[in-house]
Amino acid sequence: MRFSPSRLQTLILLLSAAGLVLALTSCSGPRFRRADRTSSIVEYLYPGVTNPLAPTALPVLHLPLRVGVAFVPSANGPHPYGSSTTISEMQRAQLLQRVAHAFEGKDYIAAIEIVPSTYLRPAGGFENLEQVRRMLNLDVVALVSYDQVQFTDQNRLSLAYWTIVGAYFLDGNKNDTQTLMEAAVYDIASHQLLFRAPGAGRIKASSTLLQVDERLRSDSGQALQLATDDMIANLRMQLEDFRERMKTAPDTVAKIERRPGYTGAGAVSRWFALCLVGIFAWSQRRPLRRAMS
Amino acid sequence: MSVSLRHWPWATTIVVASALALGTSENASSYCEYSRVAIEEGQVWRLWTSSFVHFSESHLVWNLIVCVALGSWVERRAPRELRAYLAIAPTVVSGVLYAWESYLETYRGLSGVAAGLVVVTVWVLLLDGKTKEAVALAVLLGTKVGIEFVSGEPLLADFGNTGVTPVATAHLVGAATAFVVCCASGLLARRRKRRIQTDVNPFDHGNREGI
Repeated sequence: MRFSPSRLQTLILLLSAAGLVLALTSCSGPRFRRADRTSSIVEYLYPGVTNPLAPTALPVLHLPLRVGVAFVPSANGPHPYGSSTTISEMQRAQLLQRVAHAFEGKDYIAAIEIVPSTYLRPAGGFENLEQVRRMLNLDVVALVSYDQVQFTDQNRLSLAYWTIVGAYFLDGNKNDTQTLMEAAVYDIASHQLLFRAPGAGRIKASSTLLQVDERLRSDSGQALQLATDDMIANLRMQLEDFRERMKTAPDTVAKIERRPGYTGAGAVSRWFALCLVGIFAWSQRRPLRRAMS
Repeated sequence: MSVSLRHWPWATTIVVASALALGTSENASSYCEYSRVAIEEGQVWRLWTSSFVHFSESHLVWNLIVCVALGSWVERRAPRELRAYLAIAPTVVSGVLYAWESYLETYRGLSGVAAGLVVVTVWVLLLDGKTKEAVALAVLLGTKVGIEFVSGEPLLADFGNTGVTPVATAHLVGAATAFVVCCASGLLARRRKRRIQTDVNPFDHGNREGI
């Protein structure tokens, strides 16, 4: 097969153009990407079980309750943006502190423990929760899970990425971050779900091609904060609702048993009494002197 | 004789005598201590008597030292206020414990009442112009009650491993009750003073008519 010189010239020109297009396209990256970060309660509590059976026994709650707050461990693979597949430990700690704060000040809650993430193993199930219960002496646990999906797509401004300079200055990427969080409160002994509180957060933003990863990380944090705010507001409502249900229809929610109460005393210690009497005697010094003289 | 009897701090004496009589006897305590279950069954006198029973001799002695020292002096200077306070304080302390401390099963002790006695003493010292001494007492009590209330842990009170927990709420309630009594007394005194001023005012329309 022979090519005439003019045909050969045309072929070389076409191949060069195709190569250039390919090179530029690879420079600007894929037009659409999606990333998921998930920690699922179902995967953690019922690993490998397709149809988990709901427990039938009525939970027995010993008031005041000792509550644990824990983050469901994630079992994700590597993240497409090269960042961590899960949210950072610092973010987790802050989030759990806020969830724990929502439980404070309730007379039916005796203590709130934040369960360290190292205590829970991926797909640990209720067996793992039982271990935690024994270690920290808990009655119920609030398991916090999340599902975050991030999309990044290119808009018309991304055409400017072909100029290379455009990739630095023009926001040709539109990002969408959606986060769903949930706090599910379980009675560990009976495996019963007592109540749940969901929360959602969404952040839409745009960025240049070069800043897309940084922007997505920032959006991830912000969406998580929004979802947490929403979840905490719902959690407070659910706690109040749970309290009302326990009062109005105790036998349908759980069997309530009160722990033996404590013995208290009104006592002033010897140090406090001596200080008081000392100051009082000092206040009487003048009349005493006068009386003696 | 009548004058000395009138000035005799009989309310403090009754409180101290009751605490000494009931002492630390388990028999007396079983009828008099604060017991949530018994109160719910109708034994409401426990709301008043729980302050006069104690767990141990040292528990009784240190509470009584404060009550005797402050109560006997304050009752001579401000008898109405102190008697009103002593009449209501034990019930108010126990009542608030019943409402707030839902897991408190039993309670004994006079320290809630004693904390209020300190407040009345501060008030009397202030009326006497002994500001420094009043401030010193107020700071001591305020520090104790404030730290106990914020931290939820008792300050300068410990029962060791006896299974008894000092109740910080009792001190706060005792002090608050005494504060209310002092404020009410101050308001009444001011109103009385105004009324007297109005009665003796020669330019008062009513008085002129009378003249």
